[in-house]
Amino acid sequence: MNLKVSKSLPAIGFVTALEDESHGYFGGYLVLSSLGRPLEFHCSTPVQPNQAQRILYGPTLRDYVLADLIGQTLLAKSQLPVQAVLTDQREMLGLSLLSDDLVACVESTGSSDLEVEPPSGPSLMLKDYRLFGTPSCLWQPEAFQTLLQSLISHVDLMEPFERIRAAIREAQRMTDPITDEEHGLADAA
Amino acid sequence: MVLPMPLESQPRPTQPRASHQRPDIHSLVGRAMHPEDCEVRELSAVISFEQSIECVEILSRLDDLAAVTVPLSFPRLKTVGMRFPAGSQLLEGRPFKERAPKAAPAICASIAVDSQVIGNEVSGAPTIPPTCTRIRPPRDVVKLEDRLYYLLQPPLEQIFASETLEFPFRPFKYQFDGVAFLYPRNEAVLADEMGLGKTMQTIVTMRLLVQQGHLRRVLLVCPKPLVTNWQREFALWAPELPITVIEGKQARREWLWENAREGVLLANYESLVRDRSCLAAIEEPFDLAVIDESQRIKNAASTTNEVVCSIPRKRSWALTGTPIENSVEDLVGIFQFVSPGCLRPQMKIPNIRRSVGDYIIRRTKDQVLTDLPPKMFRDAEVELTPEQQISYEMAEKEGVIRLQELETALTIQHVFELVIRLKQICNFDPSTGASAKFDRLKVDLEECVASGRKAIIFSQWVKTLDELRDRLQEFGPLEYHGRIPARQRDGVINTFRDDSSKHVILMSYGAGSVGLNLQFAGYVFLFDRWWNPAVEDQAINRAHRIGATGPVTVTRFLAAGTIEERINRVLEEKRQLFSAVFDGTPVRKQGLSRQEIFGLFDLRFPEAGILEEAA
Repeated sequence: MNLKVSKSLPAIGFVTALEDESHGYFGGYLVLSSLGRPLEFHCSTPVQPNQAQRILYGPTLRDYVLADLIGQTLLAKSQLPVQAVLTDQREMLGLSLLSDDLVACVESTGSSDLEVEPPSGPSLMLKDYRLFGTPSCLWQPEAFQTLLQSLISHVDLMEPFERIRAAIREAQRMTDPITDEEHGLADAA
Repeated sequence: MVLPMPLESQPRPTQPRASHQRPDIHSLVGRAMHPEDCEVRELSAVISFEQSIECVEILSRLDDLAAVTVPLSFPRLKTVGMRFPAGSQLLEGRPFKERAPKAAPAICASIAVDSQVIGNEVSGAPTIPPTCTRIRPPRDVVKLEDRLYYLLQPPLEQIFASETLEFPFRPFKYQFDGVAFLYPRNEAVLADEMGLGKTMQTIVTMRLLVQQGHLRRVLLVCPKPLVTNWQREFALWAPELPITVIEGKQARREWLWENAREGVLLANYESLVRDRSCLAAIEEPFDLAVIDESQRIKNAASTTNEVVCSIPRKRSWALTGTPIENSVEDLVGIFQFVSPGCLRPQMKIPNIRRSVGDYIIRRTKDQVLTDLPPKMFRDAEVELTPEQQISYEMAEKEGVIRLQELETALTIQHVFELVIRLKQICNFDPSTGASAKFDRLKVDLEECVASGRKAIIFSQWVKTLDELRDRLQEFGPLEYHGRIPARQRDGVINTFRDDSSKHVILMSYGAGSVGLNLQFAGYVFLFDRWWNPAVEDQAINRAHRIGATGPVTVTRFLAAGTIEERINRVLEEKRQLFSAVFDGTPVRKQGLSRQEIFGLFDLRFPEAGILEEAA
């Protein structure tokens, strides 16, 4: 039963994934209020592509796993509607085709990722970050900036992804007593 | 492959082969020995033999192609999720407004969330500090959901940078760590060294918990002289929290216990013991009970310990700069309040370290305040004046003879009386008033005053302080000890701070060693030594704390060749004990035993084998 409230609230979603060598991809989705306080959180069980899937999905594997499998599932689980969904992984931008939410990828202007040209969608500079989307992302930069104005006065835009990763690691640690180091958990981005 | 064999022009008729007849398949060698014909035609082979021809059909046609399905679908993804109270509130359709504190009477007003004007200029947004202090759940939080609740909170720096909570200044990183430690813990001991801001860390944590709706009613117990200090700190760090001081006549106190239902109740240990019946009548437990200077309950058998442990409460925090003053049993007493059952008497030090590890946070100035001006120790070892020497030797000789005469009636009390007598002679000669320590002190004070600095002089006896007051009139000495009424003490401190003609304050260890901020004093003199090093450290740290603008010079007087030298050795051993519990360094001895007290005078302990902490 989908209890999702139809009208969006002054909340922003953050979605990201962690890649673990032995377990695969873990996803996490955090909804924050405009003050940066947590409202809702979901994380996923790991997705471990097998060899055949790696071969056959080829370079599209990460896009599929992150956006279609993990991102879509997590967003569907969330009951709080949000004004926008931010991610720190370009592969998640495929969510814009799968969800009605406004989706944007956040990258630090000092990040080496920026050397790779972003997709030719909407783009916006906010403080030390560049937000961008794919052509399928239907958001206007000015309106998007207004949406995030309150949040960025309280929250560093990359920080919530750290919270998500910490929570995923904790969830993984609780279900598997091996330490993080032994897991070799590393950011997927 | 077709072998190079002669092919017949006409195929010979083939005959069915009986099942029992096995075909002879000739090898090349065999073919050479037994000529035979062999025909290979369209992947059917006909083998002819000399006697009879037997045709064998070998089915070499490929089977139908078999399709292999490679599964590409991923297993169904499962999720684990949680909703925070604010999120639930939103879903239930209730108007959601994040709690912001009431406007504080401060210089720059807070901007309420709902009236916040959002500008278009991104550059106007406050800068989020780069450091990131996260609240981490303690070990005893076992439910995943509860652990995630803490992990998903914003870093403390973000909360502090936020306009919704206003603080007078930005705390140090280690203070953020202290807040992050206290926040998720129901049972905690904040055991930072004196002067690192335990009060501030506690108040800030309380403020955050109140803002989040976790606290509504708090009881804070402290020594009576510190009540005003706590009030002042609350006004600074959490001005919106209502504070009620439990004081006055019994009827008023009873009324307050019964009716002060919100905010922070501030009580002192003495009145708490008197009001134990009021505590027993409290129906709804306090959301949090904090005891300051918790070494007050180190004696597990004391009435104070019993009453404090009876406070109905959900969370228990203890604050102390000296969790161990004499022996590890002190810690057992404190943990009877913090986490009953966690420690047992006679536990070994490694077990204690393991058991309390997740409950205690302790930082020293050396670890965290690298910018704090240095603290310099000078051990002023003085030779007694001839008058003092005569008095001392006579008193010691007579005293020891008297102790020996007591034989089996000898008690530790008799020994202490002699120790005190000798220590007092080390301060001033009782017949002539001569004092080698005073002579040295006066010289040091002249230098101190000439440089415009202020000095604190500690003694364990008010009588010694009286003597010093009379002799130090030229320095305008102020007094702060047990005979100064509590209502006058704040005024004494203010005068010492603000009056440039007042250079010296005389303090007893009992009254002046805790909770006071005297960082404007650059010199500390320990005219005589206290029984335990923790109290001495507290005294020194009145001056050497955050806000100190210059180095603090600590002068420890010691009369050479006297009982003071022997006691000094014991103090060093106690310091080792403290390090063993909190730093994990090995310890040789665990305090001062009765034998050692008796051993100060080469006396035999009458009840050999029974050890007891003496001081």
